[in-house]
Amino acid sequence: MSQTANTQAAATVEMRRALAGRKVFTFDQGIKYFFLFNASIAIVAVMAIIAFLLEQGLPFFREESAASLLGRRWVPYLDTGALYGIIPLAAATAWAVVLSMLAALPMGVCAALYISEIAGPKERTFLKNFIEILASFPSVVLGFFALAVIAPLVKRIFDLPSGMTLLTASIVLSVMALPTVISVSEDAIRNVPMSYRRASLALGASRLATLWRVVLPAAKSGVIAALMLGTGRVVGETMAVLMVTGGSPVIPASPLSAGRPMTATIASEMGEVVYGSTHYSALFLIGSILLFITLGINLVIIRMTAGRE
Amino acid sequence: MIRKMIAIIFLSVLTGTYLVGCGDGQESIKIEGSDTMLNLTTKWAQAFKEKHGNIKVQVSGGGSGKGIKALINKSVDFSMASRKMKEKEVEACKKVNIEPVEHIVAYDGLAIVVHKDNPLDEISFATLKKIYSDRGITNWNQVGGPDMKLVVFGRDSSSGTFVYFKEKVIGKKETDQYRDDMKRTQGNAQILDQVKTTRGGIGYVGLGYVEGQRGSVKVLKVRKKASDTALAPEHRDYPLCRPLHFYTNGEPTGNIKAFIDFALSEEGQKIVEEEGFIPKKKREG
Repeated sequence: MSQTANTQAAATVEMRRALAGRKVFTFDQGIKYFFLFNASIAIVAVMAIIAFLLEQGLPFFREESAASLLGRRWVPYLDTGALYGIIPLAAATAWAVVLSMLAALPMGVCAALYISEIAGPKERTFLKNFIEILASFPSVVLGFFALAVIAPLVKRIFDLPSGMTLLTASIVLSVMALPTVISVSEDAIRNVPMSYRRASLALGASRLATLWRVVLPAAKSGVIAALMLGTGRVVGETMAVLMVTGGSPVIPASPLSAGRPMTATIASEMGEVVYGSTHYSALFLIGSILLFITLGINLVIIRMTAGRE
Repeated sequence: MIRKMIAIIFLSVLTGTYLVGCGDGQESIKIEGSDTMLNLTTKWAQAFKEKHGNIKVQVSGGGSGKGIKALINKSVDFSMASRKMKEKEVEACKKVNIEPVEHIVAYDGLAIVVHKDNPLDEISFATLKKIYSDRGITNWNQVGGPDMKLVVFGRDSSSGTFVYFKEKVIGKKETDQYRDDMKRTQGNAQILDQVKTTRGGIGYVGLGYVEGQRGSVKVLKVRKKASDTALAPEHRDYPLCRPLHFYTNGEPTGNIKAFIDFALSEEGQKIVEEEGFIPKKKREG
């Protein structure tokens, strides 16, 4: 069995060598480079976007200092004396991440445990299909839903003058992050070797104890990856937060306050900003910061998963 | 066989890219800008198209600032603006050899709307300024109203209305700013929706948007000074009345001139009135 596999592998290697060894530039090779080009588009795009964002964003520091970027007020529309403090924007984004992950992580992990450990095969497919449908909803639609249904609900429950709050946005965001959290943590849970479960059950542990004390801790790094990826989704989400957070650039004191997350700021101001102005570069700088946050998250996950294998 | 197929795919991808670049050759006018003027200009475009069937008119909103930016980028033929161009924008135009020419095509009253249960009937500029700029004002009873939490709605900063209202009511100085906790909505319609459902809400919207909504929100009369009489938006001397502009690149010619002439014609100005705005002649006398 393994003998044939070995010879097959050897044959493939030989064939590849033979192909690569040909000196003449053939049609086949042209096609090879064509495919290589397509495969490299992602790399080129990432590099080009980072370079572009920084090129457009860094001129900000020619006019303003880093201290003004860390100011507590965002008033960019004034002709003179404009203020570019991103603290209120970053604070709104931070609130949205924390609140939505507080809801999405436990829900997502419990859902993943059920799907991978308890549900039968039919039930599993059924549930997973619905989760995929949820993941495919356009965020504008969810934003609409939040504005029409969740905002009035939040307003009534907390007896607020207006339902456009960070909490409202966080509820939608947690729904958006849920599919990511579920599928990543489900993968991790499924990758826990069967022998762990058997050993635990053989020692007389109940099924719940096995799930909670053995399987889940073993899948810990995957669950953390789910948390990070969910965070990435929430940090970058724009449309829904633009529609329901109220857009006020205050430093939010509570989940029931309005806010103006970083993405919403870019989306609503990029349209009018004068090309090359300080305000313009400030928006690109915010974009760079968002990009580096998500890039950092991805690097951490890549390192974590590399360590596991 | 496979080689042939790949070659065919390759070729068709290449030719496909070229074909996408070709237009359909029909004459068209592209307009972008003020959200307040969107309905009006769309109506003009429809009527204009009935007369000149072969000219396609595309109108999109997004805010006065966005339209002016599009004019600078040369991605539109002209822009609509509910405020005057800022100096910065004029400079930006000059840099790319665009000479902005202003055309006033109609006037708009900016209506101050509150929830229909609000007992107030009129409001002064001084009170409006307090409400829109002072974060300390959180209850209507601080400005002579009932005991009711105040929720302030406004537009976002890409809006000409945002700028107009600030300069007219709050002031032009550096220190004259909107309160940070004003709820910034994405358009006139959204402000109306919010004020309709928020008991302590107040907002400003183009008069055109209030038509047909009078039962569900209350439009306040406005006085400029304490000694003035408060006036309804329909009144000729209503203090929150502003010109609506088209900005073209140089003096308009051809189709663009035809469109603007149509907007200013008797027929065009009748549409202004139907849409709830104020015809140019009526304001200028």
